[in-house]
Amino acid sequence: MSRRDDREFEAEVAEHLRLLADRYVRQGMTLEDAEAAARRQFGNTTRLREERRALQTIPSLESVWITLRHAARQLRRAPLVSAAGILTLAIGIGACALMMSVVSSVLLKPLPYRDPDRLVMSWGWYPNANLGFPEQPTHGAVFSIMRDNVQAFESLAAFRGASFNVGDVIKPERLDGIEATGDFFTALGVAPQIGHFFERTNETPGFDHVAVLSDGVWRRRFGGDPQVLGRTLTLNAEPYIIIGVATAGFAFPRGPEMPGDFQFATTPELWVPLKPPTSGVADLAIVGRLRPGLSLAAAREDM
Amino acid sequence: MSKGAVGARSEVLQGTLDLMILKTLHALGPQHGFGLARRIEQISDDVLRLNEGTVYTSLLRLQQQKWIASRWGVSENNRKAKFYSITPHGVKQLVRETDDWQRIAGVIGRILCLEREP
Repeated sequence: MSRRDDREFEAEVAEHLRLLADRYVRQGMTLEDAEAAARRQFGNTTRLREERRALQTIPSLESVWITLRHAARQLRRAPLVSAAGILTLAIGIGACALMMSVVSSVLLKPLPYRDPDRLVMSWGWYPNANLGFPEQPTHGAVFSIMRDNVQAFESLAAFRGASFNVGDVIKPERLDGIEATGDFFTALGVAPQIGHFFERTNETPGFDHVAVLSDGVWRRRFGGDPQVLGRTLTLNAEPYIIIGVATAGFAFPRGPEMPGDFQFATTPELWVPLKPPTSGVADLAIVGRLRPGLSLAAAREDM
Repeated sequence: MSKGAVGARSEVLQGTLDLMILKTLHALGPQHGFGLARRIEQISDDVLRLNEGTVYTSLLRLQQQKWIASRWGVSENNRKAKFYSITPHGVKQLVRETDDWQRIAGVIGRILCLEREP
């Protein structure tokens, strides 16, 4: 470590303190107070010099990965570390920001939902990664943390596209549908045409083999028969019980209305429950309903 | 380094800061230390609160790993400033760490979910 490095480092620190003090002076402080505030904000320079010295005499073996893995182990022992802190980390690392847009500005057709201006979608925002589109899907673990901790939403749901082989002796076919977490229909604020929509409880294994049909599929495949409720539909070789049918106007999400990297079919034909995944890739879109009286700006702050 | 919960938090934050700096440099181009502190403060007030100088410890570590490089230049205020930029190695590291982080988020998500079970 050379003397020139030391001098350069001291110059950097001095300049940084100067810029901090300038800001405080512009806010109306005296120079003396501003300099003291700047030193407080910067932190202990002696310790900084020590850390710098330590880094340069001992080769640094810790990679960020090891640090984070160790931290994960520590968290298991001290689970009271605030989940909001983890959310901050997830957002800080995973995306420049979790962006939110009011759904009505994203969709093309008028929304048949309750209070549509309270609906927002949220996605990871990567404007500079070469991923094709800045809006990127979210990981299930991040969604779970959001759902448990972000106060701004009255309901929040994640969803992704899914394709289903409908196995049936009479008419086998393939349907494009949506897997969605329990509060999906609650967040959108829609009512079924007949029957019920699924809920949070349906995320639990054993309660999750239920399906909601689109009006189109109901008429085409079941002749619009209300007796379809309670019948079993075989989807990807598993039995699902039909619990409800959506109204004729309802088709969320429509593929062409969703930002680029969310792969959705043009029109969903059925919906099934999804338990938020804890592993795997990030492939979820998020929709939520803001608490009454909360503005989008305030919700962004909360995130 | 302390092993208590506070120690864990500062370790996580230090590692987080390294990653945030890489991410910021990748997204916004070359920055000087003061500029980086301002940007990171926008993302997460917590990380730098009353300890802004810690940015320079991260910058030194990142330079040692050859994930960033530095050179002197002139700032927007027409003052001499040291600018940091991400290297190709740094970009690779950023992609690796982002992937790793998603996996860890999965673990943490599982842990938190377990805590909630009756």
